[in-house]
Amino acid sequence: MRAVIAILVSLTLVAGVSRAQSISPMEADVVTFSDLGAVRASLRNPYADARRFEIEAFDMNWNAVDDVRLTRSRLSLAPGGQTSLLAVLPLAGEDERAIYLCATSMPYRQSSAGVRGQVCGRFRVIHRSF
Amino acid sequence: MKKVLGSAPVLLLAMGTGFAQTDDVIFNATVSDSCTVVADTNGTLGLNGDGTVLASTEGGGSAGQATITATNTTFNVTIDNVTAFTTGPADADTNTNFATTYDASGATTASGVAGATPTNLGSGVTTLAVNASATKTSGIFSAGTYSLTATVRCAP
Repeated sequence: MRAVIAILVSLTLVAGVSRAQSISPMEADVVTFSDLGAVRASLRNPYADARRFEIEAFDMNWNAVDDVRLTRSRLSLAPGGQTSLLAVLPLAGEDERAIYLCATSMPYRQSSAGVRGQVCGRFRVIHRSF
Repeated sequence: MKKVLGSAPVLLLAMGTGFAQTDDVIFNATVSDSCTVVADTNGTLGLNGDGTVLASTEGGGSAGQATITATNTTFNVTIDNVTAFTTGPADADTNTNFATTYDASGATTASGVAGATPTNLGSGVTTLAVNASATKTSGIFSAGTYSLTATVRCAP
């Protein structure tokens, strides 16, 4: 129950940030009173056609982290479509933890040298005690 | 005297309409920090003369292109390290080194930057030309179809 309350507080803190293109916000701090933190970001498809996106989380050295729970790791968006992403990360006893939450658009047509775009937001979860 | 009296009703009528006043209509807007990366064009790899290099800068090759729109100057662009071909013959990745470089124009100016080296993006629209190469340190590229993917990253 305590973890659930902390997550709700975290969501409330980031909900006031306005939405924009690709990933928004690009940076945010979230306060949690539990050993879990949750961050929410908005993802928009800037392309003129429907796209598939892959969602990943990285640490500050760009190593993939596998203990972050993502609501969705793959999704499709219509042109101009927008959705929200939720990532829940454990603090594992640390006072704070930072991650990059990244959305990568999949190339719709592969040639010998495909290019894909990735936008990453940096989120920091800070632990506070009651 | 008649002229003065004649103008009095006009003055009274004007007073009855009240005082004219102006007021401001305020328009507010918030542009949040954001970065958008659109991969516009895929590139093509060309093979060099001795069959040891597949690169977008070789004959028959072409650079890929991406457009990045940043709303402030706190974001960096990099290209994620390429470690393997996406598709290729069984020996495609054997004894093969991969590299990427990029040139930036528009809101950001850069030339021949190694993919992993971050460049601070200017606020506005940046056009990125992406070059990729695969080099055999031993042997040559065998016959087959090769493809690799370069990921253009925008991050704080």
